Amino acid sequence: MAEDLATTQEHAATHSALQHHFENMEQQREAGTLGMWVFLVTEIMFFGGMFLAYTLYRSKYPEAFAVASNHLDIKLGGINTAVLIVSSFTMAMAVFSTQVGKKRNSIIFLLMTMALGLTFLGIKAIEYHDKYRDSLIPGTLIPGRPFNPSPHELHLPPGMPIGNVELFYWIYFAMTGMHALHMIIGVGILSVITILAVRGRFSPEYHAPVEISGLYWHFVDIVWIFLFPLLYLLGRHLAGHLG
Amino acid sequence: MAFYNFPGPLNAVVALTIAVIKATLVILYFMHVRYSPRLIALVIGAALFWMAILFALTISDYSTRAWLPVS
Repeated sequence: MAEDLATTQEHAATHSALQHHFENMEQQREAGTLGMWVFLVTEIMFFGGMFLAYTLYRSKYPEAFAVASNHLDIKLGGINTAVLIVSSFTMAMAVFSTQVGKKRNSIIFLLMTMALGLTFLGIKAIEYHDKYRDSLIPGTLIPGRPFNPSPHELHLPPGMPIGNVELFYWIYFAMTGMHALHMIIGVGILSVITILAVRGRFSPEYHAPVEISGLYWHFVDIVWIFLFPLLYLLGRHLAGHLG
Repeated sequence: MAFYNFPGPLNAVVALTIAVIKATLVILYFMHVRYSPRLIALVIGAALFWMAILFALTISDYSTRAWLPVS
């Protein structure tokens, strides 16, 4: 009994954030990281299904997908790619600053990461609004504004079924929409982390929450790294042939 | 770069290769996998392997459906 008490006291003496079922902080941190990766794996499978649907339909209707993808704004998409990669860098810097105990820097980097995330969402909103203006939102998702692009606007070759072009926009909105939702959740998580950082909850000994939120943020960045070339770039060279 | 026309399917190959390289760098360095226990790499490898099965089996189905006449 006395021995147990001694162990408990020794345990508590290591760090206040150490949960009783872990030997030490390092083991706790590794278990948390592993758990986060297992969650991210389920996310890989979730987005993987949509990437598979994209692959199948792109190979089935290559011309229609090229026509539809040519209407996306490559400039805005490219800027967003840069914004997200820089935000991943600032996130990595936030984690690093926390690890070395530079509280001020870590808060600045967290705020920068969130600002870049919001920039991404803002640009995405502009793109979505352009699609709304051109009646390119598929089906009847927007009441009173069904999918009805002007064939001239899309450079639609004669005889191409409009439904195949619409299919691209279903996939585009499903994938970028799910990605944007992940971004919104990511900004929400980071705002909580920032508040905790301001309250001084993290230290070189205890920074697992910052690190794990960082893993989530990087994962969302990786999804966009694949979405951008697949949705915006591929088929662009066909524009000349289809004009 | 984005507008450069590689012959045939090479466009997709080049675009995806760049994406894979970028993603690998993010995973190894930003996500610290290079400096983490091997167990993490195993989890990621298993996930990618599992997704490869998902792609391979589904694509093998769709790409061979036309081989036999519909009865």
